Amino acid sequence: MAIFYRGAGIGTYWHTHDARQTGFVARAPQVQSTVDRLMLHIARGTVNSPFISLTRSYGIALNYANFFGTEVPTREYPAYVYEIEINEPIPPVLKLLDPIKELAPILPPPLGVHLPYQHDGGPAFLLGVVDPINMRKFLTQRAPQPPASAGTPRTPNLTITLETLVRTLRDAEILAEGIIPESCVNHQFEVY
Amino acid sequence: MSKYQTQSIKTAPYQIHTISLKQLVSGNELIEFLRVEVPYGEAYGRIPFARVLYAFNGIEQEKAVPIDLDKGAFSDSSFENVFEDEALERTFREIAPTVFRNAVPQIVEAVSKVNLSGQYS
Repeated sequence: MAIFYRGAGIGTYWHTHDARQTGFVARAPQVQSTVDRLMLHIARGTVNSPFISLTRSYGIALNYANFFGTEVPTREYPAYVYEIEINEPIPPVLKLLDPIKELAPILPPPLGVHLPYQHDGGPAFLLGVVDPINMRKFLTQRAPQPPASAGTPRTPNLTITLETLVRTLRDAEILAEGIIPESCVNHQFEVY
Repeated sequence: MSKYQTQSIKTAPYQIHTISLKQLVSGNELIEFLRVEVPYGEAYGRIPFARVLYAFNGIEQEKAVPIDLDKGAFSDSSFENVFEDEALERTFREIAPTVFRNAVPQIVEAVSKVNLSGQYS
């Protein structure tokens, strides 16, 4: 048995539609599921996606419910946190994906000729990726270069792969593909 | 007995810091950016979300557009079912996603200039 959560801020789709009645479906279930689309869904918040974002963390869902809505929730007009329970065997209409595991096989090998997913900045660069608001200065510092090869001044390499890894971990995220039946939706907590 | 539990949960208190976006030039004259509301609070550490308030056709809208500041992404449903008037709704849906998306760098920059982390450290 595994418990997942989904936050629904006021005005968002799963706030105006009761998943206890309908279950969860992706916004664009007909779109082909690929790792590229997975990265766009997580790192860019792409709208037309075949995935449904879930989190293993109630705290993450609570943040989404409270702060990612069109209005500030109140007792009279609360936001929601859904609790979703999925047991073995997983319903045939549903597939669960751990984004980190999906990404791992496509990461380039250490000797690959393509741009690696690793950055080439200083040790604080990752702080800038994790928190581009408060740690922005680390994101925009020049990438140090070895002597005699300074090249064009630039910021460190940041790939969508690394962004996806970081955002997945931020949100303790698991993706669902297909349909989460309404029978899996245990609770809809009202939060404000 | 119903399978569902209804339980109201009051979350930890937080404050909202408001930043004016009046200087932000919109890509369309129908949309005017007004301000961004950034929540912060000791119990939360950091909150990567904010709400962007705007006027459409000269009228301030009550509902904001939430943004994930880390991803530079807006809630996908914020541009739908905003207006009862069909023509307004159609126009808004047509222009708003692009206008808001183009404004992301300036909005993120405006928020990043305010050191809210210092207020709960």
